[in-house]
Amino acid sequence: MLLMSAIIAVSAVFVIAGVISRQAQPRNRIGVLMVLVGIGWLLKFLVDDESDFLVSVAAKAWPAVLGHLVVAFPTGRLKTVPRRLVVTAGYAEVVVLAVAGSASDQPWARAALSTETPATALIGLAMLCLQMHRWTCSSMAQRRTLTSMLGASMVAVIVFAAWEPVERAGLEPPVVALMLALVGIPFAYLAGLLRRRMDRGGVADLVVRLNGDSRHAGVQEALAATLHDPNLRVAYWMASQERYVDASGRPVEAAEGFVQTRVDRGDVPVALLLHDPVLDLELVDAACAAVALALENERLTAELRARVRQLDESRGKLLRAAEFERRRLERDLHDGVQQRLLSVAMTLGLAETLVSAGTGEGAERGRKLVGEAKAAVLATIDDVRAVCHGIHPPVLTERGLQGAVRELTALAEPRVELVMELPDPLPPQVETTAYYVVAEALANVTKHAEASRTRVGIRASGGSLAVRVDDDGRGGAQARDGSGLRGLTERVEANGGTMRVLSAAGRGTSVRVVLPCGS
Amino acid sequence: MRVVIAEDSTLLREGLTLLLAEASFEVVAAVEDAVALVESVDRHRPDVAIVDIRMPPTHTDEGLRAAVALRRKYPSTGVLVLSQYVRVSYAAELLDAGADGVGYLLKDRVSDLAEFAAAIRRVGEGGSAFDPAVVSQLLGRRRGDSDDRLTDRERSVLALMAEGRTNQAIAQRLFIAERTVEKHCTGIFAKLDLSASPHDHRRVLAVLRYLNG
Repeated sequence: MLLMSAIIAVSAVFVIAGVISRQAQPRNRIGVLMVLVGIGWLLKFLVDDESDFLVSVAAKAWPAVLGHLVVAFPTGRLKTVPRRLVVTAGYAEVVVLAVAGSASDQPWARAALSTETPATALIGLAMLCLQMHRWTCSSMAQRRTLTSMLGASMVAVIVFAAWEPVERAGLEPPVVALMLALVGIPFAYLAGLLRRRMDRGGVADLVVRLNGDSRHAGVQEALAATLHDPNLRVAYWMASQERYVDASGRPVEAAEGFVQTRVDRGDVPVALLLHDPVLDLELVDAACAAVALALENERLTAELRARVRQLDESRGKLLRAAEFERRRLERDLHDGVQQRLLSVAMTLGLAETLVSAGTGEGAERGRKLVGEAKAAVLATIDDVRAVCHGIHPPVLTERGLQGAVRELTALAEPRVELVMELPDPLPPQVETTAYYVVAEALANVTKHAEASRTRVGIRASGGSLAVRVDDDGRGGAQARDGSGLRGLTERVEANGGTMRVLSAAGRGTSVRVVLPCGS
Repeated sequence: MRVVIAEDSTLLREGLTLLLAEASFEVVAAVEDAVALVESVDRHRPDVAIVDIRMPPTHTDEGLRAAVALRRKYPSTGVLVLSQYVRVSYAAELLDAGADGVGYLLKDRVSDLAEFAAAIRRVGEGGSAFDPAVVSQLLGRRRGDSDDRLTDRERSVLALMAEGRTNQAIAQRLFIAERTVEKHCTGIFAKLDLSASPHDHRRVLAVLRYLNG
């Protein structure tokens, strides 16, 4: 009597869980399968072997339906071919065994019946393998849904598959063990439903959490925590660029394995949630509605960041273009004007030599005129040289930063201790800026510092270039408007770098510049 | 004296060829890049190679690098480097392999044929020729020293010495007797602790020793 009420209780748990599931998710087939398992389980004990063939098939079918339920969880659909195959195999086994059972005097039927235990074990094992595989391939969010149900069904399948061999071995396994194992499945399922309810409660916490937390990227973290999807990303709509960007202003690309949920305010798009397909869409919508204001704030911040990034990029482009132009100009002057002037100077030099051979007043005047013309050309060459140096230091073109700085320090007074660590080539505009920093700082040391030692350090590491010029002179240097240091600071900042001048009176001067040089 | 010219500007290359012919040099080859320069020196073994610093393909310092390589490969061939700009560090690189048969002049110097021809001859004969602009930059650096060992007159003799000039030429420049120049030289060598060694070598060593303190 006690056993019978336990059997009915198991059946009832399955049926009740099925009905609840049906109400919570009307389109999900899991509820139907759950009810069928409950009825089948009960039939197994009510029906005896002499019953009608169809009824006995129905009574024997409950393990196959249970297998179907486990494999089809959580959507109720069999999405892949292996899953369909294994479920079909389960049902086929039931039919074959039922037919064989009704004709048990036939030799083929006996053969079929003798395969019952290995066949059941095989199908059970196949289901377990499929579920294990599914679990390992799942995202974090999917695992959260799958784990408890998979655990319960694994216990049930193992107990069920092991039942017959244990029985045959002469041991009498308690039916209670089987019932407990079975009843775990609807309970795990109900626990999952309950958790969904609680997740919705979490949306309310989300609003509270966001109000107390103004850090940037807080919305993405809060949503990821509330929706239990650590890979969740938020992209903000950038009306000016007509695309979505992340919190730091970088464009966001659509990614595989993510579902996009759009968040609007009125007709205007605000943000895009990229999240795991398994997430409960109603829950996502509720969460989005709760954080809409925070998302709008975040969107405005992201838009600002994107604009700043755009400005940075266009400034960088302008700087590179200007640098390129200066180099080109210097080379054009070098290859064109300077060579032509030199050839004129050379010709005049030759003429001077030839005229010198002559005698008389005419030759004397000719020699004088040629000499004047030559002097004028040489002075012009000097001027062009100075202009070239102002446009772009030629030594930088010829030797790069290393050679150019060596040239600067070779002549500097007082002597310079030079340390350079430049493993990779630098962008041209960074080289030029670094060169001017060293040149200006060394000129200041010579002019004002009365130092006995100078030290120049240039190091490139981790995407930035550090330039440092230290002396032990009298200090007190200031970057006033119009001064060399002020101009230098502007030049460094235009290149996205920073410059500090430490110069306490009597304690030397230290010029420290950091320039970004990532590509 | 046989000369090879390496200069990428056609105008200057042809001008130099004419100029040097006028000054009775035999121009055995006039080429426009560093690779052709090394090839023609290999083939002709000239007395002097006149080399522009910036040449194709990169228009940076290939002439200088070729010059340094030539000095290693053919110590008996003089190398005279021409440049639009003077660089102390370039002079130091050229002097790395010694001071024999090497020169470094600003291109402007081609306008004074006599001086230019004399410089080429000095380099071809194993002497040296450094541009006054290089020398004054080098010596200018030391001018601030208060405990300078050399007198003003000794320093001007040293400057001319650094350009690669002979005692006779120095005497003419400074309007003093050659004997006086010799006396100054002995004084300079003594102050810089340079003992007797091959004559020309010691003169450039004097300059380097002076510059390096």
